[in-house]
Amino acid sequence: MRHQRAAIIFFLGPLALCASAQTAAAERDQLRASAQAKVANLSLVLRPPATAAPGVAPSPQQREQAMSQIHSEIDAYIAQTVDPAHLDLNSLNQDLAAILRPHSVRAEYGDPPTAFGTDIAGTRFLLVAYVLYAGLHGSGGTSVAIRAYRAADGRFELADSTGDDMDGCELFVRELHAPLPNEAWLLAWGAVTGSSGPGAYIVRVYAFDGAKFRTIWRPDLLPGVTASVTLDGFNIRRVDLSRSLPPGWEYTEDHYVLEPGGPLLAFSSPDPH
Amino acid sequence: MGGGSLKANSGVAARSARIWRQSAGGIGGAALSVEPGRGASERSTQENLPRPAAPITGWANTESSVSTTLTVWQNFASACTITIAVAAYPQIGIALSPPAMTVSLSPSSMNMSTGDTTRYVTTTVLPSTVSFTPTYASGLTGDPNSSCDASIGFSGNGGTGTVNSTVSAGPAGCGGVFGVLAYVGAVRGSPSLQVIVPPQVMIATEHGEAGGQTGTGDASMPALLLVAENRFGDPTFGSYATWQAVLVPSQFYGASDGTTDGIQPELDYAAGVFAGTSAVSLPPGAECYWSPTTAQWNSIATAYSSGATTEPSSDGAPGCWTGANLPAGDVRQIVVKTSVANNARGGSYQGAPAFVFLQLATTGSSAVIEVP
Repeated sequence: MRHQRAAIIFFLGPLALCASAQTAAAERDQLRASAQAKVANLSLVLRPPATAAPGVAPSPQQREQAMSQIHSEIDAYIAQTVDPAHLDLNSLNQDLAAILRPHSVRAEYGDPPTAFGTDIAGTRFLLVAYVLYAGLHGSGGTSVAIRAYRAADGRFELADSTGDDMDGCELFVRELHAPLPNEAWLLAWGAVTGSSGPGAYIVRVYAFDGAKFRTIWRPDLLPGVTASVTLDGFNIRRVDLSRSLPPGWEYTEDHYVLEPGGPLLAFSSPDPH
Repeated sequence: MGGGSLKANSGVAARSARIWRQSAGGIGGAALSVEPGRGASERSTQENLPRPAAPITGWANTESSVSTTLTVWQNFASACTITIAVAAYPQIGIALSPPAMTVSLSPSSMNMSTGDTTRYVTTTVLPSTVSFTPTYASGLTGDPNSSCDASIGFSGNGGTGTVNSTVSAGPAGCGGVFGVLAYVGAVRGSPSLQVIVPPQVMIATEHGEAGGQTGTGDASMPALLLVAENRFGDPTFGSYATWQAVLVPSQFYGASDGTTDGIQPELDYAAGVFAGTSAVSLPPGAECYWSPTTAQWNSIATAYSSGATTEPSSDGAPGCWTGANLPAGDVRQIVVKTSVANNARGGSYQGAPAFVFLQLATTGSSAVIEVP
């Protein structure tokens, strides 16, 4: 009898687990579809009326409210579907890309929604970065979200965000090799929407210590930026106005190394192109 | 300063006369003539004017005529009429009319920056022996889309024949279009002068964004300002209405250029766009621009020649109308302006226009259009 029971468990156990996984997947699909629909609806508020049939543009308050609701949808989706113990960043990135499809851009303008996992002082954290387009250009033209979620009770809850520091920009984000233990550092940059010519870029380095974000590096606007991460820091390739005869842009690459106090410019080199 | 000649009606005797002058920079070489029937009434209109230091004396008096030689010891404004009244015979007046004087002003139009210190206008007076100090009356005739009004001033120097007056404009960064009249005394110079002071940020942006595009006939500089002008009132670009609000470094990085004076050709292009006199035009929806590399330009040219309705994927276009910022039912359309010359740098920009532009079009429109 005992053997029979064991055999039943042996044979049905995986089936039960499989059924449970299927249920979870179905539930996740349902939640994703729901979030996708809500975000699509809210994004309609943000999108400017067609040129051929101009309508009434949304008020700043309507925009603010719609974007705030979208952020809440993302928070709720992460809380409901992401298991800190089984963090699948690829799936999460795909889900976020699907949910935020109205805000997707070509690769040269910004990254798709990006999630990073990190452990700080024994606690698991999820860092998520994405952009909402507000139907405007320049200041207030986007809402740039860089949000940290803390694992607690088997789910992720919002811990902190970088606020509106980069609003108006598109967004690229890379994880840096943090020079301090128990911190996650991010390099974020993006062109201000609508900026013409070489483009005006906001560049930031943020640190997250498990409780709060702090801004480590906040240079002035830079023209024509691309960036890459190195083992000990990062490189910023930018238009070098001192060598340019506009609009024949010349580029310089600045090599930064990360110190606990922030990035230090190690050297700069002209970038022939 | 010259002497005058005096004639009088026959049979009229004059016992005394006084002369009044109108205060102003002036002229000599006056001709005197007797004008019957004028006298005290005209004098009364000039009572408020300063009187000469001494009456004219030395009249020769005969039964039939009076005559004298006058030496005019003050500068006279040429427009005034100087009346000599004969005290004993109030019905008799003697009018002294100065000779013709011409005042000319050049140039007839001038563009300048609020940072310029060496711009001047030239006032010329004939006869050339005249000593004069020109004065200028200026008025703001337009302030198109400037957030603050400039004012202009002129140096107060004088001379003979030709006088150069330095023109200054301020406060820094403000703009305006001015009409200016030159005066020598009460004589108005001709022609009038138009002074255009574009907001400095227009000049700086042109220099910072297109300073290398200085070839004759290259529409680059005015065209990029027209992009900014196209944004006036557009709610998706902030509904701004002034050059100072639109031309900001976060939208046009060149606006951070440190140019503080009226370098050329930036000044003249900026003045033309500011005053609305530029011959360069751009479709009103073109609100963004960029400088494609050769590779990007090749993809644009291919899309144009093939009549594509989809924007090339690697054209280098800036982040305008991206994501949900693109209105429903619209697509981005590249505008190639043939009067924009090729990028002067060459190299990786070889053969590519210095600027191409971006506007919205309805879905299904050509991805690339060409305008003159």
